[in-house]
Amino acid sequence: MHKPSVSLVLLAFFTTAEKAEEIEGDLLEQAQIHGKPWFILHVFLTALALGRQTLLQQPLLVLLPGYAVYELVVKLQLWAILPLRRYLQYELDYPATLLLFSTRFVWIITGYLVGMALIRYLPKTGIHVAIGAATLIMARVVMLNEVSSISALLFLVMPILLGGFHAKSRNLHEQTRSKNLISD
Amino acid sequence: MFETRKNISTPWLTTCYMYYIFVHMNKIQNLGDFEQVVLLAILRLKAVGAYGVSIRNEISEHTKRNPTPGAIYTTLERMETKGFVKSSEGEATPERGGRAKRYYHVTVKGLNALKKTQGDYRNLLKGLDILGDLYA
Repeated sequence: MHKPSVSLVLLAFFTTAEKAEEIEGDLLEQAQIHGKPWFILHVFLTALALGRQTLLQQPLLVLLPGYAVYELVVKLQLWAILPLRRYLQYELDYPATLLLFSTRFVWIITGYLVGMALIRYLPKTGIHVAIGAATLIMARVVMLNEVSSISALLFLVMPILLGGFHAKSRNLHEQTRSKNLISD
Repeated sequence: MFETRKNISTPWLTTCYMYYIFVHMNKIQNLGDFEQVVLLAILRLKAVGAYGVSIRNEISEHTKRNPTPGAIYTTLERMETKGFVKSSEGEATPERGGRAKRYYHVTVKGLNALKKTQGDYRNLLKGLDILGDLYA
């Protein structure tokens, strides 16, 4: 990996770090003929094109962080400090507050890892299993009314799907297959 | 532990929407016009190696198009996701700031999709007198 430049960071925001480096290399090669302004313009245009494609192909990857920022800035409902708000409102003791926070954190991490594992080890059927599991979780939540649907969606279903798509975008199942071939 | 809510429509609609996006749309395997151009350019550059710059130059040289680099990379990334092309890392050169090249190769699936699309065009053009004797 090379020293990250502004252009590299901008490109890597919408593609993998390796591909961003290679795209930057291509643009640098053409900048020998067209000049520095051409390079700057096309770094922005390429990042814009990649961002647009990401938005069209995986809208949730772009819209979810956007929604999170909206929740944080506009509605001031940061879920991470919700336990603190409850602590102040209902005077819960500190371990209970910590437990509430850590439970949600564990949910998110577990969901994310499950999603990644599904895609990594079941590349063909993993996405169907993930969506099936997400549907079952939501069905149970809605029918039994155990927790809020939004909470289940944000803290369990979304992490499963994000983990799965992260694994898919990084081609983790291909890496696993390569490792298996090498070990064979 | 969490507060309960009565409104159930939003999560269900979101789940259905996600299923459509993630599963159904991934199955769409048609080749667009520019995708065909890029695939043909990669095939033409098979001997020397097809990477971003050479693909763009090849298209500019043989067609009246002058695609932006962004259009090339998004098309290549989309086709790689669909399995029409595969890529491998190449060598780094000083004029590229030491960055490696990424070479693209057309897969069997990509070649079949290209043949099918071109065959469809050929069938539609048969009997039409707009290209002279080429497809008569």
